[in-house]
Amino acid sequence: MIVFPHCAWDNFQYGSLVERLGRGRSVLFVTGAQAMTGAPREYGTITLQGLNALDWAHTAVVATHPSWAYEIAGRKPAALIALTPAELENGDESHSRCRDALCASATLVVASSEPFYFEQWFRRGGVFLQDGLDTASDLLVDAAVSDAVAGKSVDALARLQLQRRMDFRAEQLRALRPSAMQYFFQAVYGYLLGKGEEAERWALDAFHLAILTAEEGAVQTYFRFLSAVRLLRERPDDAIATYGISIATDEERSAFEEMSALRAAGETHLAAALLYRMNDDLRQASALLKTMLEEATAGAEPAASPPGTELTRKELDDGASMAETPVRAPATSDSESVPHARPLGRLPNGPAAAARATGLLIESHERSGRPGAALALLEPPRTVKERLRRNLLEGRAWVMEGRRHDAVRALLQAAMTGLEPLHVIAEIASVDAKAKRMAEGDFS
Amino acid sequence: MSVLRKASGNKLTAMMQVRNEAGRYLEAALADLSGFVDEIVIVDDASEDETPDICRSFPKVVRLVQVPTPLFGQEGRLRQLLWQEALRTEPDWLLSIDADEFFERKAKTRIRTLIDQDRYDWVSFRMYDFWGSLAYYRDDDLWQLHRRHTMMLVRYLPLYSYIYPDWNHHVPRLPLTCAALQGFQSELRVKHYGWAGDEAARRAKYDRYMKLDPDGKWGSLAQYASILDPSPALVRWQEDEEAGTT
Repeated sequence: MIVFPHCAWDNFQYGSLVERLGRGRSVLFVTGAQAMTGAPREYGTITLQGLNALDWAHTAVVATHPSWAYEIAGRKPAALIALTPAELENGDESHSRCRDALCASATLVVASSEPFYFEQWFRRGGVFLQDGLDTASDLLVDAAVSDAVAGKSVDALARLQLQRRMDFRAEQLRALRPSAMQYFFQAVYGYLLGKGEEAERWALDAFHLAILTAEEGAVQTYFRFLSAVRLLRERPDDAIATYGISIATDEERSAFEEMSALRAAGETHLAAALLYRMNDDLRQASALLKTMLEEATAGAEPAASPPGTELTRKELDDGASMAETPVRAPATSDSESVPHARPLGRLPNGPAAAARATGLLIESHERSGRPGAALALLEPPRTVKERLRRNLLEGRAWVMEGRRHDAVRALLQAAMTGLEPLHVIAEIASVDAKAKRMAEGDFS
Repeated sequence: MSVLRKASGNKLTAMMQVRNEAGRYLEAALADLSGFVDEIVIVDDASEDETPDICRSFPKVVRLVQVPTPLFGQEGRLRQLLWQEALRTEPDWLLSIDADEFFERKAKTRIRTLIDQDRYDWVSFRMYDFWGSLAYYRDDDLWQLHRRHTMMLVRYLPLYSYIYPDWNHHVPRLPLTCAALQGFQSELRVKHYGWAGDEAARRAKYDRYMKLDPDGKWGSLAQYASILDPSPALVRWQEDEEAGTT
């Protein structure tokens, strides 16, 4: 097992987790020996160059810093556990891009705060939270990490933790003075668990409390989420109208007009995907769009019956592979069926709708830290602008595949028409330098 | 799927809460409102005079709900009742107005422009406290209602959540949640005649306030005292002056 740490051993808060996972395995940290002072003797260190000699198909990885993303990229370890310490959950644009890419390619993500936990749930499945507030919940993380490294599914444990957290927060709310944000968290838990009625009630409570306490942005923060919840409850017209009530910017207005027109034209799936996207639920949006496009490609009956197009939780939870492999699943009636992303009408039946669906899916992949999946959907460029976009995407995608030279070449090509590619090259170099420093034991 | 915000053809319902308004401004207010709203809904808080008859005499008053016993001290309940009754007229917009409030002339001609748009969900106006007559409004440190905006006109969006606080007094005239939507501050003016009566009428109001709120729990004692100010700062009202644009 290889550990890509974010700090020296004496500050490393995941020691017990590594100890548990490392039983029966050799454990190597990618850092200098000095940084491992005080660590158990059986833990060794490895250099960046040494990583090239490993059998990655039989190697599990634990990464606790986003700047390792490019070093891990392309190696395809047997399991990748992305642990995000609270202090590293947020950062500048470069930090966020690495964090997103690392989390997108991970087998399992462990967040340290609820906002980041939810953000990841809106991008992929297999997300866990370990914040030290609830022992029972934290223990589920330990079990999930062990299962993930053993190659087992963690979907049931992930759902169990959502439920446990919701119950835990509900207990807290009975004892503490409530806040709008806490109510909102309950709404999100309910939404992720497919409990639409509960989610709607909590979201309304959050909105009302925010209004009573004169909180700024209550409509956009709390009320808007009701649109996603109402979509979950299979009320597409109400969902779109609810979103429409919440619009504040020209972009939001334009999105509302588009989803209204799509709905009126019978393109309910596409309207729903757009609504999920505007609620930042890229996971639901992507799942819907992929199914739509696969149906369209397969020439399926446009007015397909709902049971034949239901997505399974496996499809939605398969975060890493979601973007890379077809996920059309057979209709099932088992307990894994996801209440989200159900068909609400007919599939796109025209080239324009298919093109729009593809465009939205590309955007969702990009925003989820999956440039490779986005690139795979991109049409050949016809204009200079499209060429620039492709080159940029190639650069971002290939660096995540470990094709550093190809990535830089693509970015240099793009640099002929703009400055942004040069910034990306500089960003890659900066992340590389950070990784090199950490590999030498410098975590400053 | 119906249009969420109509840019034309909006139905405007005025809603008004009244109690013992006979002999004051009610008749004039309803006549005025009848000129520019589509329907009027009134909740009468157990009037003991001819107020209900006056209301009924106006064809645009399509709903008049008479509360048998006064709901004084349950203002939240009264507001909620009026709101619910007004919604029964299936309005696109609601105008919350009192029986002693009057839009300036040009506002009445422009109100359709204010509501026939698809961008804003509420409109607020400057309200002027007329003092001692219908010719002057009061303008001093304690009487500055006209220096801020008062939300009176709101779009009704059926899927939105409208809540009134469950307070006994000083409940806002429109649901608290309205202001969280995108709105528009108009420079059009509203005349409030509640203080336009004579000195005896103001003294009676002062006595009533001091009896109900002797400790200034609901309002400012300094403002209560200023009701009896023998020489308040007054400004002459200019009905036709251009006070700004819509």
